[in-house]
Amino acid sequence: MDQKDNEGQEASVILSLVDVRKSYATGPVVAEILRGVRLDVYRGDLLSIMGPSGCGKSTLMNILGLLDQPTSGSFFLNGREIGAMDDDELSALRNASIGFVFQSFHLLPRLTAWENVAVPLVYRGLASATAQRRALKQLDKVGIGARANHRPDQLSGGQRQRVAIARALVGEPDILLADEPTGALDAETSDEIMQLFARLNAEERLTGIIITHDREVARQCARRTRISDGVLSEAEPPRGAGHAPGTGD
Amino acid sequence: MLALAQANLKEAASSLLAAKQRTLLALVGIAIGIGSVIAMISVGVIARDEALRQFQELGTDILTITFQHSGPAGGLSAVTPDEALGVTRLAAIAAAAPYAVSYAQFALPGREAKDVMLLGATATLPDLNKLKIETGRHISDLDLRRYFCVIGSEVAAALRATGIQRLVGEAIEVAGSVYTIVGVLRRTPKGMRDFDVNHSIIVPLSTAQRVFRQPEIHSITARLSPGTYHVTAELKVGDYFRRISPGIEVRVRSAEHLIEQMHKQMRLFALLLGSVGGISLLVGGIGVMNVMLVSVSERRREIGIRRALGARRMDIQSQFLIESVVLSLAAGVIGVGAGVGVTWAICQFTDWAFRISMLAVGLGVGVASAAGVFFGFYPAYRAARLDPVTALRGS
Repeated sequence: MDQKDNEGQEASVILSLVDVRKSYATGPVVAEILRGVRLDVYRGDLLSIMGPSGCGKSTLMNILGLLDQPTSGSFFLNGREIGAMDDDELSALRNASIGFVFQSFHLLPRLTAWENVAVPLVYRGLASATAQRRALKQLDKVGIGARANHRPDQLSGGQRQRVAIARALVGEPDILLADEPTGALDAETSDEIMQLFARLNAEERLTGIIITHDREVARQCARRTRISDGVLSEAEPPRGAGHAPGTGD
Repeated sequence: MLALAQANLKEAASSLLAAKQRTLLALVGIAIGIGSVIAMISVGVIARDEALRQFQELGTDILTITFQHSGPAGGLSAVTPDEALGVTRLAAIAAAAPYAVSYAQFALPGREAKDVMLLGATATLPDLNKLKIETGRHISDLDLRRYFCVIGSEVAAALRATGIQRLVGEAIEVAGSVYTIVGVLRRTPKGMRDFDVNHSIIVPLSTAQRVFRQPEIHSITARLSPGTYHVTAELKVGDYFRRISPGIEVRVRSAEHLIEQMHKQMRLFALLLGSVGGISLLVGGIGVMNVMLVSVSERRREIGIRRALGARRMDIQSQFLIESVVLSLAAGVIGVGAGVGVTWAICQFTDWAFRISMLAVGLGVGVASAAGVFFGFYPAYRAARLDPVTALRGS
C-alpha cells in the first residue's frame, strides 16, 4: 500500500481506469453504457464528473465504488487489479478504501447518528467501545458532534449529509465517492457541504470524486471531467457562474 | 464484545419491534407450537409417573384374578373360597387373598343410611393390598365366623361425625347384622385396587359365607412367587381355574402387564404429540419465514447501504439469521412459559404432583432456535445474494 506522500513529492495514482467498458443485455439488445473510459485519479485530487442523466454517471459511480464490475477493461485501485477479486475481497476493499456519500444520504433509519457512522468500523470487526469513540470523533470533525444521539428523522437534510460524510470518512478511506451529494439540499446547505469537502481536501489531502450535474458544485473542484455518450473527458472550467443548483433531471 | 455481534442483536430487536403486528403473529404461531408440545410432554410424563406410582404402591408382583360373566346364560362366574385358596398350590403363586363382595347400607344414629361395600376377606387381604391399620387390628384367621369388622377411613369419619370417639369396640349394624369394630384402616388411595377400601367394611370371609346373599368369590388378589415371569403365572392361573370349573371366564391381570401396556400407549401418545407439535412448528416456522421474507424485501435499500459500507454476504446473512433466531427464541420462551403454565393448571385440576420437565423445556428452547435457523436460512440467503447496485436502488 502507498504511504502518504511527503510534501513536495509527485502525487501518486491511487485509482486508474483503463479502457473500461460496461454493457447491459436487455433481451437481444445490448446497450453499451461506458465505451472505453480512461481516468487516473491522484492522491489529493478533488475531481468532479458531470454529465446529463443517462450518460453512464451512475454506472461509472458503481464501478468506481466496487459495487459493479466492468464488462471489459481494467480497474486498478492502489495498484491492485480488482477484476480478479471475489465478492468478499471486494467487500473488504470497499470497507477499507471507499467512502460513499449518496444524494439521499442513505442513513439507516433505526440507528442514531453515531451508530450510523460506526457501521463501516463494525464490519471491520472492531470492539464496540473503539468504534463508538472513533465515530464520535468523526462527527465532531464534520461539526455535528452535538447530534450524535439523534436519529436521522430528527436531523435536517444538511445535518444528515454531514452524518453521511462522517460515515464515509470514519474508516479513513483512500477515496471519497460522492454521488450528487448536494442534490437533495438547498443552495445554502449545498455550499456548506462543498466547503466541508474543500476544507477536508485542503487540510487532510482527502481524495474526492464528486458526481454532479450542478455546475456550481463542479466549479468548486480543482479537476473537472465530463461524461458524454459513455466517454469521459477532462472539461474546461465553466466560465459563467450563477447556474441554479440542484437542477432536476 | 465485538461491535458486530452487539449491532446485530440490537438491530434484530429493533427491526422486530418496528414491525410489531407481523412479529407478534409469527411469534404466536411458534409459541403455540412449542407451548403445546411442552404441555403435552410434561402432562404425559406426569400422568405416566402418577400411574406407575399407583402400580408400584401395590407392588409389581401382584396379580388380580377376576371371574367374568360366562356363557350365553349370563350371570357371574365364581368359585368357592377353598377353590380360590387352592391357587396357592401353584408354584407360581406365593399367596392369595380371595374376597367376596356385598353392597349394603349401614344405619348411623340420627342420620341418613350410608352405602358401604362389605368385603368378606381372609387375613391375607391387608398384606396383599397394602392396607394399614390406624387403630386396633386387622381381621385374623382366628376370627372364624365371628361378627368382627375392620372399617375404612370414610366409614370411620362418618361414625366419628355422630360423636363416637373410640371406634374400636363399638358395635355397628350393617344389613341386619351387628358387628364389633376391631380395627380402623388408614386412608388409602384407591390406586389399582378393584375396591375403594375407604368406603368399605371388612369382615371375616367365613362370616361372609353365612350372611352374604351371594357369598361366592369373584375376585382374588395374589402374589407371584419370586422370580416368576408374570405371563407364565397368568397362563397357569387361568388353566387352574378352567380345570376345576370348566367354562369359567377368568381374567388375570398383572401390574407388569398393565405397565407394559401403558408403555406401549405412551409410545403411541408420544408419536401423536410429536406429529401435532411438528405440524404446529411447521406452521409457525412458515410464519417466521414469511416475516423474514417481508423484512428482507422491505429492507433492500438497507442491505444495499450495508454492502456499500463493506458488509460481506456472510455479514448480511448472519444479520438476518440472528433476527429470525431472536424471533423464534422469543416465541420459544413464551411457548415454554405457556406450556409450563398449562401443565401447572392441569395438575391443579387433576391433583397430580406438578413438576417442570427440564427435558421438555430444553427441547422447547432448542427446537425454537433450530426452527429460527431453519426457516430463517432461505430469507437470509436471499438477502445475502442481493446485488448491491439493485439493492441500493431500493424496491
